Amino acid sequence: MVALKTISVGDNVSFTLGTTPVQGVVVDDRGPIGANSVRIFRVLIPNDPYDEDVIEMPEDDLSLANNSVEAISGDRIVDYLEHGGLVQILKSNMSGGRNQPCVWLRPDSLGNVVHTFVAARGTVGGAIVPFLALNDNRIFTPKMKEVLTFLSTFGLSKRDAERVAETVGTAP
Amino acid sequence: MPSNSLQHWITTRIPSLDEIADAHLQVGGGARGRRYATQQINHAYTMLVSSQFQGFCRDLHSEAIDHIARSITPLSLRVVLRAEFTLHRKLDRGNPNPGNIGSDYNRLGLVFWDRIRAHSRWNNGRIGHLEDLNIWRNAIAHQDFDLATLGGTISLRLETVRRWRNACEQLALVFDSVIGDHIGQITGTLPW
Repeated sequence: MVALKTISVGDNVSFTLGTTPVQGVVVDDRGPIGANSVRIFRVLIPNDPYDEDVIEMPEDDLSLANNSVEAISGDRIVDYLEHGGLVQILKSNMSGGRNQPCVWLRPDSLGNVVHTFVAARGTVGGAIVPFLALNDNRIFTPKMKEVLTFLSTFGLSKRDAERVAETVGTAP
Repeated sequence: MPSNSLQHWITTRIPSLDEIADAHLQVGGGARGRRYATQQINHAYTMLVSSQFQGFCRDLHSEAIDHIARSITPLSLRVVLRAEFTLHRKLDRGNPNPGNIGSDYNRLGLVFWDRIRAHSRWNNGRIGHLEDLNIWRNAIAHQDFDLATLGGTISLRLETVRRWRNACEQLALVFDSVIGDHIGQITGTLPW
């Protein structure tokens, strides 16, 4: 007989929020304080690219989730970056200085592409966002080469990277 | 039968406060007349009373949410409700001052402090002690001892900390009773 693994801090768990399947990470074990002494956990829910939320869940509503990360196809990455993703990403590093942001792409709870600044949740990427590479929501022309190199870190071919840049547009 | 949170308060949190009270006795002795070291222990004791009471208040709030959520159908609404009750909960970050406690517990569908005051006329004084405890907690945590805020003294006596602790112990019993009754009223089942 195989004993079921109990949930503990650090585990990836899944549950249903309303009608949406959600994955999160257990960040705190509050102890057996729930009804019928069920354990209550604090679960961090990604809200990428924004700050995470933390909610409390009883153990009996949680399932252990596997750690496998779904790969993202190049077409979906291009689509995301062309439709606002790249502009949002470049906006995150307009001030430079220390601790400049690194960015990854990942699938969200519905399987769509989103960016994250948390390495543990990223599927592809991890490069530092080019500094001051945006002007009027378009790529700042002197930074174009740097942006193309950055786009290649998402696994895009030179041609796809140039396609994204062309769609977003450039500003002098 | 008390709530799980109250049982944890009695069996774990209060004994941990007893340990710092014992430490005070060992450093300063039982006689009157304070030494500098006991002043620091009074500060530590104050921080611990406040933090343990914060832990109790948060535990009881979580336990109440669990009981309320389990009374809800359809099931899909339960997690939504849990999220609503726990997101940005003040007791997760702020001090257990009456404002923060009231703000979190009012979301369960009652005017919390009105119910606490109605429970016993002694509770008004206990609420005052809770306010003082948290004013001192902030002063100690930030090392910012403002005579006006602290009631004209920057010296903290053991008797004062004991009074605050006693107020917290009494309030814990009252919270357990009031919240238990409230959940019974809104769900139709007494939770503990």
